[in-house]
Amino acid sequence: MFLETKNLSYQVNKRRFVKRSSIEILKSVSLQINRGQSMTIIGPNGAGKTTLLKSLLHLLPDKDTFGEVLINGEPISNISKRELGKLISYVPQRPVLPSRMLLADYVLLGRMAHIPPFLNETKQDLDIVYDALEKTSMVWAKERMLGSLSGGELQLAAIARSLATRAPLLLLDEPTASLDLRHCYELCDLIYSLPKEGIAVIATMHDLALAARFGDELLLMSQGEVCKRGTASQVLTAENIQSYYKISVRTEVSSKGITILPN
Amino acid sequence: MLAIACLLASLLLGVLVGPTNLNPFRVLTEIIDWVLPFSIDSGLSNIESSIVIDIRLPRVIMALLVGAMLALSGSAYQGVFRNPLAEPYLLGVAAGAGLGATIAIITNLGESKWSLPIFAFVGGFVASAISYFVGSAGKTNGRLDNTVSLILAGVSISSFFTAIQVYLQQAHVDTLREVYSWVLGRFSVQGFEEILIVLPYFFVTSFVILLYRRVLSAFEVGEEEAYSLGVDVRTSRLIVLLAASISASVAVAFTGLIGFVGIIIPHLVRLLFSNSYRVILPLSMILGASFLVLADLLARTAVSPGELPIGVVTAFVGAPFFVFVLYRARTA
Repeated sequence: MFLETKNLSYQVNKRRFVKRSSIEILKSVSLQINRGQSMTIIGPNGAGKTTLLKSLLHLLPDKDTFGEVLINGEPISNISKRELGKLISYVPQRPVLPSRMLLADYVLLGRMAHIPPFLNETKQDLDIVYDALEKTSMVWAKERMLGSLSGGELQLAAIARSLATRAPLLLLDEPTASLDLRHCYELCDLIYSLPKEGIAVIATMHDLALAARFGDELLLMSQGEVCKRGTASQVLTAENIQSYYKISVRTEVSSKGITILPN
Repeated sequence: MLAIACLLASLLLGVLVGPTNLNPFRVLTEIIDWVLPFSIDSGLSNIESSIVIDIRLPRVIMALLVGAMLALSGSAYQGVFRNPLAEPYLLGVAAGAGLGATIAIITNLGESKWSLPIFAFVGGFVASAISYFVGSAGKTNGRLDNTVSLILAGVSISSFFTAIQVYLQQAHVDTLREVYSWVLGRFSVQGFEEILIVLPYFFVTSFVILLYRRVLSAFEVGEEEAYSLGVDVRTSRLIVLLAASISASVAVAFTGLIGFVGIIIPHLVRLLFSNSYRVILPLSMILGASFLVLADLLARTAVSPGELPIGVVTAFVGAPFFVFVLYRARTA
């Protein structure tokens, strides 16, 4: 198993005056993913999807995190930050994209963990950068500043940077948010083709039609818990959506995927 | 290449021009004589050669080192804080050094020529260290970004130290003039002793900051993403800030508060050349050095035989120039 979590919980302590209360953001989440697999996490806003991704990155404070996150059987707290940077790459919901940075320099940041601390990048690093740009069809813009790219191009830039890490696990938080229809599908085609190259992909997604069409394994989260998991047709039933998204819908299943329409 | 040529030219100009009119050719020969192990007769009298070797040369070298240090630590601060307005004095180096210097002057420890720089250095360093530890205490909690709390801590510590300094200064009005002249910046270097002290700091801090050039680029995408790229954000931020603060404190200790260099030079490089830290850091050093050498040249010749405070010159000449570059960049 490449990555697994065992009863992963995370709580935030809030102190209001004297009273202390703690809110559980993640409740006992257990999941496994191997290289070459994809996992799509869906769920209403505030379900804990982003927090789950951050916990896999060891971005949450240890004292509030319970349970285990293992990579190749090793707890992530034992893995150095640099090693972790080589194993997992992450594209947040709203990546920070310095507007005056050149695209090529931005993608080169993905090599950060690979270039020995005080040396310069090698020919090999530059080849990997070029390759990442090619995969995202962004080679044409490599000398452009990020500020001059469109929203869809910027999302591709962020994906290119994470591809340049050559990490075996890719975490994508809402990669299709703010993209138009064509860019959504092109991006998903790209993302969900990565498992064929032996990469594990975990993506959160709000667009259920996209999740249904591209995701092999779906995880439905609600209030910090994984409520349902399975294939699209198992998870995306009208019943499940109604009880977790609190909206009444009907679904139409076809060979092209599942259509979900509010009643 | 252009930048290095510019530095060499300003160095030459710095040594050749001064209140005492000397034959440029002879000055050059004198310096070559001083550098080379065997002796060449430059034709300068003893007094003249002493002006060149003991007064002009050390001063030019000091201006070069301080200019490079201020510009470099300025660009490092801007990188760490992801804030274009960050300057070497952001964490309280200036206020702390000011307090240190004032204490040294009023307690009249100034018997030894070293007490002022030592007090100023300690003050500057202590102030920035307090800011750092207050500002980065505890864990990040959604409410306050790490860099924002560092800046806020720096601002508070600065005002606190300034308050004490102003109080002490008011209580000892007789020292006002001396404190004031220190605050405006001055190069009162004689001989090479000071330079030999500054040099190791210069080399070590510049080396460290230059090593972290790629980390500074990674900081540009924010703490969380830098972390996910495999950067140990906390540790590298501490190291870079430590190097930059030491560098700024040393510079301030020997020359007083020279504003403007640390904030304007890095931006000049950004506007004219590149936004990548691998360019910004070295070019800032070179341009900062030449800028300060020229500014000092102006400071000591413009109203000769008097002398202008260097801080006045850097702002008076630097500001219009930068405004011009900024305007050109925005309208280009």
